[in-house]
Amino acid sequence: MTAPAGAPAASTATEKGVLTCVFAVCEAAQLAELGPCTGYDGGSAPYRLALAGGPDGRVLHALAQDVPASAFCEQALRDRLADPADLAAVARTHHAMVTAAAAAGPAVPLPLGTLFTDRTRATQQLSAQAAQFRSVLDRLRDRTEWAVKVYVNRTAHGPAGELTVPSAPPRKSTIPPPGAGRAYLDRIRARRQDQESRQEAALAETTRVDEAIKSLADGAVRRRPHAARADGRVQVLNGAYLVDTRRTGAFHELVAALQASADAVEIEVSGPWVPYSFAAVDAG
Amino acid sequence: MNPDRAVRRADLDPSPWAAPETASLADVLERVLDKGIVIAGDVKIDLLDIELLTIRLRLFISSVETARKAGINWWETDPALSSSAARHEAEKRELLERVAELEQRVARSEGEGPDEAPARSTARRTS
Repeated sequence: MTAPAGAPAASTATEKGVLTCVFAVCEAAQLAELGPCTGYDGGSAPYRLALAGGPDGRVLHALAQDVPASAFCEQALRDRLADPADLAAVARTHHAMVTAAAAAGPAVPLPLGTLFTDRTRATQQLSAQAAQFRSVLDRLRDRTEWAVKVYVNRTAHGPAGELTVPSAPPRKSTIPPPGAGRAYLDRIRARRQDQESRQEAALAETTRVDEAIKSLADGAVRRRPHAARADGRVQVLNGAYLVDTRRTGAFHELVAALQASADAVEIEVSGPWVPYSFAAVDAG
Repeated sequence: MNPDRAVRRADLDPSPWAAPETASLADVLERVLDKGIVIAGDVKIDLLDIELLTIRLRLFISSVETARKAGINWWETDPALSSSAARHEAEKRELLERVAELEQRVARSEGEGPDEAPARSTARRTS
């Protein structure tokens, strides 16, 4: 390996007030250039930790950074992750580092906030899992993750699909005209039936979308759909698919075809992502 | 390694990934935190889930030795860690189930009101 030695001397490792934060594990040659990634504010320059090699000679490295314990200890993290702005910043930094580690080949993203008391401990702990990391790297090699989100199409059935608030129940002082109550109930029933049939159509199309993409993918994960948004958009599928890079073109064609033929649903795609959703390392 | 890919990666497309800074925050969060949080609207954090997340994070903040020296190795011996997490989950599930049940009841009474009270609707019709 011609890659320069990654980790500086571990002199700072035991310094008080510093924790070692690890972002991802990948093969050694990949971390030669980290680009513009600087990691967390207030932390050291990102560096590489060489993990203890296995018998097959493939040296693994972890992308790491020393971070101030004052900002990353349990209580500080608890406070920061409960603050939406801080949470967003922390998550985006982690994501940028993971993406940088995967720039030239597969990488295993580690959970946000994977912290160790020092570099030695980080190296020990991660080296102990080297075999699992290797098998995950092999599984993710030349594959990317695509996010596919499917929403109920609210305009599929024209104005009939519009949900209008039923007229307010009659005030106590006003006697409703005969049949008003029945009409009110009929309206509610019609609205419910309309809603149900749209929901059924959307679910059927969603199944079709999921099955079609699955048939092309090497893996699929259905995440919990997002809660209904303020604008009333209902998500029915929050999927992640592992796609071989040689099939990326076919994936896009398939999605375009599904989008063109979808009536009851709207399909949104994002990616390619580092395969976060397919990188689980079995507890070892 | 496929040579085409190496060329593409090295010369044409230095990073094969979508630019991290343009990714939607919801997408980033659900990947980075996995099942840790609930996203509604742009970002709204389910506090119960954040609690679970930070409990998990504790395990990673391995001040393990420090904590052991201080005798604070409660996570090894005390099942409260996992049981409180499980309890939160169970409580949440129970609440969600109750909400669903109530919604169904409301829907039923709205949709089938007249059928459930035939006497009254008959009376109305004949009046």
